[in-house]
Amino acid sequence: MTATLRLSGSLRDMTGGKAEIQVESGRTVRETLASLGIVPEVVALVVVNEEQQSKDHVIQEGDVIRVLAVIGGG
Amino acid sequence: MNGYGGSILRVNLTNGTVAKEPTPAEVARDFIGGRGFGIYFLLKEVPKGADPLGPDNKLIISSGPISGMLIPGGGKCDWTTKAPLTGGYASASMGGHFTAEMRYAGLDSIILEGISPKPVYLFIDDDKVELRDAADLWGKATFAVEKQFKEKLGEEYQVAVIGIGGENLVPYACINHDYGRQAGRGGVGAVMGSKKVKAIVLHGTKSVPVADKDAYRTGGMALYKACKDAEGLKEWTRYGTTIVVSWCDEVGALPTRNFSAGSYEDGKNLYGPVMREKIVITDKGCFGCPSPCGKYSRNKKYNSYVEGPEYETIGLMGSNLGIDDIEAVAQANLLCDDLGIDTISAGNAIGWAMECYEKGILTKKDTDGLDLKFGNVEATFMLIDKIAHREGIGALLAEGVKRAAKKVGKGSEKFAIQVKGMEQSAYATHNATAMLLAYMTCDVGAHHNRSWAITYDLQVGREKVVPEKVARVIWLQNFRPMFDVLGGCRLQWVELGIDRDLYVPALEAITGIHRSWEDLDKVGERIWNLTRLYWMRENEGFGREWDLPSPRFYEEPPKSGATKGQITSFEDVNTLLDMYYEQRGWTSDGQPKPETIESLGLKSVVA
Repeated sequence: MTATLRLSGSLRDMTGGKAEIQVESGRTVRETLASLGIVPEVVALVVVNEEQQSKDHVIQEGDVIRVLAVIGGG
Repeated sequence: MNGYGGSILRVNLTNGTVAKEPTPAEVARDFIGGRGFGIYFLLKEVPKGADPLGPDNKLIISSGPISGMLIPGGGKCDWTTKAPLTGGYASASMGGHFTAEMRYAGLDSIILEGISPKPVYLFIDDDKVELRDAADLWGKATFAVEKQFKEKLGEEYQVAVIGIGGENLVPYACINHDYGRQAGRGGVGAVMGSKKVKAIVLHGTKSVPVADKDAYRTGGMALYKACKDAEGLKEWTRYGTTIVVSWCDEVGALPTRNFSAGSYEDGKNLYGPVMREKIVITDKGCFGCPSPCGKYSRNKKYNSYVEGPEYETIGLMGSNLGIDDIEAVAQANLLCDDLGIDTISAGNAIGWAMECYEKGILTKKDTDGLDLKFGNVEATFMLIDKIAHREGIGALLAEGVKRAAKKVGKGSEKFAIQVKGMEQSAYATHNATAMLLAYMTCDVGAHHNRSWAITYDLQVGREKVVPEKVARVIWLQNFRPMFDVLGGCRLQWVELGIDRDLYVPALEAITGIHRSWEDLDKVGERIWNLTRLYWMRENEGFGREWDLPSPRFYEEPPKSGATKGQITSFEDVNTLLDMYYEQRGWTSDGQPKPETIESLGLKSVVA
């Protein structure tokens, strides 16, 4: 029961440089991020299987989840 | 000199002469280019106490070694001057294609000096440099002038032009380029207007010499590949800076009704995907950009086209005015660009006026009969026009919120959202202490681009006041503006998260000088201290008082939204400054100590 979480550049600093992590399904993206030590509030955009979703999306088996951080602004 | 066009162009507007001089090698070595050149020439050449709109002030336009090169984002140039808005240092960064053509004309800086007796435009075509009559252009809006030049000369000619706001010396007038890019902040457009220069038109065909062509090609391609492979390229390209609208709303950073809150109940109507769906027709990038953040929009409601709006304008002309209609925001954006005024300062001025009106401080007698309630779109459009023309209440708002509030009084100073006289850009900072400090200490006033530390607040605890946060703000202040020194865009690092070390070999290949980021950060620190010394030189008694934020952020907790009831105490504001000054090597009143100036090797520059 796994899914793939892909992290944008700056978020990798919080996961020891890991760009891609296998995560369990059944939990929300928000819970999953927190369990990895990533403060969910720094994430600007969650894309699941190429569709934008909220951080409260419940991860399904086989999902490919991409999360983008906000570092810069305008 | 490898990596440089080789010449500084001086334009003496008073007597109508132009002259070129070689770019000084030691200035290139110590200050590299862009905003480094800007502060160097400003300190050295503009006399103490110069009137920002008088003949002694200069407008210094500088490219950097990666401008116009095959390096991602090499489309930026810096516009430095003494700011009419603040009376201190101004440095505005402009994207587009101007800086590339500048380099191909062999120019590292263009310095406008004196005041022309009549309206002129500066025409540059490689070595041909002429001041030409602009009588028929004076009074025209920016897009019409740019279009006129492009149609007459060709698309390859680049145009930087002021609008009615610049002609009327509005202290936050901007300079427009590329139908939607600006040198936006501090009033650089008013300085150009004071010199009676309507436009600069340029084109070049020369090559920029590089030290090692093969390494340049390899280094440049490595940077492009990193951008292409970056997670998020697709989304950042699709939405540009509007990606952060929803995020700011969620975390309480979206300025709402003159920064009285950080979340907007109708904010969803302004989010990036809504805008993309509703009005965006294509992406628009600057020179050599692999991740074009510009969004070009067709506005059916107002039958118009505009580049934007980007995040700052959505925040200041949307939620900050209680406007939830993205087409109305796009139209306000268009009006500001065409009239040549900064959307950030204008959005603040209008938000302040609306709050004054709702509190009864201003009435219809003061507002030319306009019903200035938050959310009034038509009144917003009219105010933009009145500001640019300095008509009626527009004359008051054109002064900027600090001066306007001083005139009006009645407690309105407390909700004039500014630092050092510059209106705050679009991040509400009721409870984000690092971001608040970044605004307080920014070298041009309350602007976000030097140090954007709000995610760090979220990572370590937004209300915390700890040395680590201060260190982060300082590191960002030293590092991020280095892109403005190099003549490039920071968004590939900021948004795509590419490794900044990739720039090192490319920069070395261009200039022949190896500089690590440790070296570059040190240059950034030197420049930061020089800008502080400039503020001190130009303003008697400059010190801690000048770094204080709007009282709104330490006296008035928001009544709604993500930061409801949250505030930074005045004690914490001062603790942040204490820590900041100590870490910077400044006195407790915020002035660089002699030993700091000495250790940074700046004594000769400020002598």
